[in-house]
Amino acid sequence: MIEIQVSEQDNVSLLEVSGRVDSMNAHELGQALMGAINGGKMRLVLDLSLVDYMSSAGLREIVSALKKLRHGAGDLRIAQPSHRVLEVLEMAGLDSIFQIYPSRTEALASF
Amino acid sequence: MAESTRLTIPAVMGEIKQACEFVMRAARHAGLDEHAAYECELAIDEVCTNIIEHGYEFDGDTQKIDIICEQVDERFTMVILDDSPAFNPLLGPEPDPDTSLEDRKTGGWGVYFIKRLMDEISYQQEDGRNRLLMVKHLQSLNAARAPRAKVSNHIASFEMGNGVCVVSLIGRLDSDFSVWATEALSPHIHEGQRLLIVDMSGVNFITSNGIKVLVVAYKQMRALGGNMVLAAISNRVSDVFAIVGLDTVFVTYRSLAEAIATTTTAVKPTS
Repeated sequence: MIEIQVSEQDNVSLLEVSGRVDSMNAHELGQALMGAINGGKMRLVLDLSLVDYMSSAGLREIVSALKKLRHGAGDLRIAQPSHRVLEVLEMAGLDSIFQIYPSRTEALASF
Repeated sequence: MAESTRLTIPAVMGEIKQACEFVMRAARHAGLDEHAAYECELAIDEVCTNIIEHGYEFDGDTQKIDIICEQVDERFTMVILDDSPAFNPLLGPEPDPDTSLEDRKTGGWGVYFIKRLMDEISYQQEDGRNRLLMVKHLQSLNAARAPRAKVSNHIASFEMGNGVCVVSLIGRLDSDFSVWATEALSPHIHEGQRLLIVDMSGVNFITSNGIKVLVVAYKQMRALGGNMVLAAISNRVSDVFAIVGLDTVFVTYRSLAEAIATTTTAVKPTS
């Protein structure tokens, strides 16, 4: 079960995800990200502080979104990933590809 | 004392959570700490996802995945059995975490995660089923070793059939890893094993104890009428081999693919 809240702050879309992101529901995260991108949003912040579990299915969705955004000179930045999320990001070498911020404020202000 | 529990789930995504919970319970019961139990959970999630997605191609409603958890001494083992077409997940190309975004495929990380999360993995076909064995070592066994680097040592092995087995060693082949490497190699050294290919691509450091492991395994294989070859040796390790005069003892191949390619032709023990 995941919950995704989408809001808008100073021209940046903030997606707050909570719950367990796995192969069962990763597509929901993908849909939320693509929804924002297809709606013309180019600056996205993904707050992952309340995600206590993420399998590679979840990473697949955020990498797809990032590819699409960077292609159009946009970006997806990650705010305060939980310990476990940071671990999987590191394991896949994504910590050097995504801009990751310790707080939501910093991530939002980075654009 | 070996204690074994088993769970059978239909091969659909909605059932994976149940497999995760089952493995978590068994792992905790075996004495793994919370983080190690979580790593087992993530590994089983990735394995089941792969089986359902690639093995059964999302059509596994009437198919089953069996998971057997067992604790033997200091090892917590998970065996995953399925009936999808024969597929060895350990043979695929490994994604590289250093790949740039442009060159990066979005998928393919599941197996990579499993290899990183587990201490040992092996694949074989058994009675027409895919059988993946994953092992997580208990804390006490880990504590007995040197402090672990961020990238943990691990061993992946797979029986390719026809008496050929590939064992990949990843990590610093020092005295601590050597004890464990010997244990992991021994089940693959037996009569009828024609060829043991040791994939050295993940070894960038070797000590005399590490060398001893290889020499002992090599001697055992030769005594049994088989052979052992090394593949993809790093320059650093190759330098050490040259110093101790081992470069003329082992038959070596530049890559694992090259070593495997020779098995399609007759395998002759060379010295």
